[in-house]
Amino acid sequence: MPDLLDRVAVVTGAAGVVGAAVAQRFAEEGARLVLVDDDEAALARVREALRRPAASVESLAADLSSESQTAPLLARTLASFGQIDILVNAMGMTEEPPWDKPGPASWERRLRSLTACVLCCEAIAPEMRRQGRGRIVNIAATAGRYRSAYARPEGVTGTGAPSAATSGGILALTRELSLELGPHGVTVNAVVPGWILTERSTQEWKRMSERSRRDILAEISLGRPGRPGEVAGVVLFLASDASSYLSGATIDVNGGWWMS
Amino acid sequence: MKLAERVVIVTGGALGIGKAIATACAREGARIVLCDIAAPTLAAAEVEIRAFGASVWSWRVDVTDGAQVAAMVKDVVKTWGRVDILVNNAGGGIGPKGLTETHDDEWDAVVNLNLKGQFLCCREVAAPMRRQEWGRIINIASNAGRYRSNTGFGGLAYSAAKGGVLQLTRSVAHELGSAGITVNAIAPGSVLSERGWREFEALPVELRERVLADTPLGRFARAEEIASIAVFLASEDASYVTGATIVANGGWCAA
Repeated sequence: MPDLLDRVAVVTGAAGVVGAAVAQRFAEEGARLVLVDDDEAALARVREALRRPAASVESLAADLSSESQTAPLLARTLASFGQIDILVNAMGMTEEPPWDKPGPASWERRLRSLTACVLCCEAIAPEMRRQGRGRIVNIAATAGRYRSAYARPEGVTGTGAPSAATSGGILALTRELSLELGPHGVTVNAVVPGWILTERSTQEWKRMSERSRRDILAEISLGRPGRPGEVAGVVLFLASDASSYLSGATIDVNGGWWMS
Repeated sequence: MKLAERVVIVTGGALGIGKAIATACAREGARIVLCDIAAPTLAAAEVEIRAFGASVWSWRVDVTDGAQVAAMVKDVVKTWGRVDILVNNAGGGIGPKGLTETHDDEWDAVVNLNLKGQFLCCREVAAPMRRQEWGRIINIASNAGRYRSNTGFGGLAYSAAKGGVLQLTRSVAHELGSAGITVNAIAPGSVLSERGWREFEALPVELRERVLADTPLGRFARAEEIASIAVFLASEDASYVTGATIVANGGWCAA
């Protein structure tokens, strides 16, 4: 039997590489989906690629850092499917490099992902509490618990601090929410991917010197980058019945790059 | 079937978490090598797990004895041609004994069973897993190995050995990673296995109440809830997870 048969999952940041892989895997496991992202065109492409009956997938273009746009998430989900079982927040996993020009504008822009994660949890969690069950899975970058990247590409002078602090915030939010929601049967856990092959990281890889490549691979125990589907497999575990005694936990998916 | 035809060695497989893991793997189609030191319970567990239609082969083995472990692994490879998954579960403590109460021989016995046993099993499966270029090692650690026991009554030697298990996990993960072998640990909180329940019942009432109140999920784990984590780590879903510790404590010590 598929792991998520008839479960209803909201996936935010569904147009990103990781979010799309989660949507794909959840669809294969029989879930009904509400996909949310602010990039309407990309979202449409992800939905198209799922090749699922229209009735089992909803998509919603929304700016998740705005409460007026996240507040209707629950009503939309319940109107379509009558229940909500899983919330996956992947909005922090964009294709964008983590480097910023120092200054308040960068902080404000990066922290919007954290705000978005909070608002989505706040929009959905009350219904999960009411039901007495639910799964929330937040995805954050390794910078939130270790450091930003394997190597700073040559020529980059920006700061990785806003991006790192945002991911760290998502992990702290995860632990704190797990305390608040645990007594109501709702688990809250995090997934922290390492170096995952995307279009951007593939291009970066091609630009690197042979020496840099060797150094990076030597740091990863499995000796290779990960695939988005390998992150989705871990998210699936945390969204399924198999993880029923995990809450407040963080699972690293990094091939052994960093071990906590 | 997530583990169809996989050959799985489970140590301490006759009771509790080990039996639950062996059962869960069998239900996912795996062939089971059930290891334990206690013959009568081992025989009973073999019959029970075989009822799921699985191939089960039980082995009476003392995991602290390198020669016995090597002989077991050699026989498994001879019979089934491979070892896909090792679950290092054999372990146990001597109760709430602290620094000044722990005798030398008690320390040795606990560290041998909980840490050396895992080292020996890892060492013996490394060669066949390298040849296959595929393998999964799952080490059962404990809350007590990374923070402290949640009752505050964990034995010193047990906690130290379980902390060692976490570091063994990371080091072996790095050493075997390039051969396509992943090595991860599960650190459970209190589990209501037969033994876990007995230990918990022996605690003062107000301590039992406080421990439960401190656990966000408000309950202890069933052995099956640890087994499902082991199945995940053994499956393709965890292919990029290595050197990791999966903390399964109901949110008691979130970190």
